[in-house]
Amino acid sequence: MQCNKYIQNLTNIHSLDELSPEERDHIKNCSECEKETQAYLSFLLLVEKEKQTAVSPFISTRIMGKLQKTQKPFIPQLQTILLNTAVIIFTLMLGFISAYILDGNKIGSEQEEMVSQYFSSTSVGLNIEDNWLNNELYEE
Amino acid sequence: MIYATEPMTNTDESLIERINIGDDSAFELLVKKYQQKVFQTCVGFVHNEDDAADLTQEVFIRIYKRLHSFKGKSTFATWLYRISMNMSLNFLRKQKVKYLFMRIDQDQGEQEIISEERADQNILRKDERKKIASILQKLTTAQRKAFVLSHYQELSNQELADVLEITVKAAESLLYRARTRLREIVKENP
Repeated sequence: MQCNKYIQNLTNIHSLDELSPEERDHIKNCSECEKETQAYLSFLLLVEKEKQTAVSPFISTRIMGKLQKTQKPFIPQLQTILLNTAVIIFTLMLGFISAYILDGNKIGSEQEEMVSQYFSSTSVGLNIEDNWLNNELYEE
Repeated sequence: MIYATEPMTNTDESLIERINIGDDSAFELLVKKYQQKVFQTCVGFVHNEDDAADLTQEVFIRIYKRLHSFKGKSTFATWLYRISMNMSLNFLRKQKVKYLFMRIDQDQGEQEIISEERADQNILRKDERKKIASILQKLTTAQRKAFVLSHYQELSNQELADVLEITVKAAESLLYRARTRLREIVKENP
């Protein structure tokens, strides 16, 4: 057997057991091919050894835990945001309503005039400013 | 196509259907069924147990998030191996960039890096893995994919062709070139 042919065949084998009797005879007589065979097969053996590494049996638990963490936060976050918004709106409404109840009924005629001026006048605030500017106290 | 012997109730298709309607226990079954296979693929590329375990987790999380996009054009296993392979290669690319920065900071940070190494690390095993990694690094990416899928997953040429999306002949040729190159490399660096 020629070295070239042997080396070509070597590419397709994974262990010494797969060598044909003819190939075995060849490496007995050819130290170069024997050396190359040993180097190649011992590398494949290292690969085989590495392949045997087992994954942790807890990996599925870790994956499921991680999935729950990445999935669930969205809903609780949304719930928290909605709840916080509702609390803020409720507090503001409570403030407005209580202010209206405590203060709203006591609106005097002057205040009513100011409010009506403010909302209906085309020159908002000008009359009020005039009053302030022409006030006697101010002139002093 | 990659076929697995399995009871009818737990076929990949039935599990995927159950997952798509929100049954998370079906996903757990799918994880248990393929965790070792995915881990082996990752080990074949990254040659580090911890990194491979982290990658395995990431692969399954990505699978879960993208399961709706799986149309069944290939088998689930083919799709899974393709994702595992691509994520492992992406991880290696990121590692390369990280390594560059580490080398820049090596003068200041060498002591810190060494002290971070796990105390119980098996030195012999580490050396063997380093050797495998340094040899496989000398292959082209396509050759490395073919070698890892064939030797770590024991995929047939047909399965290899499906995962790599090439013809069977091309897969055979790629694998042959990968093994020939490896033989040459180990001859040069015994």
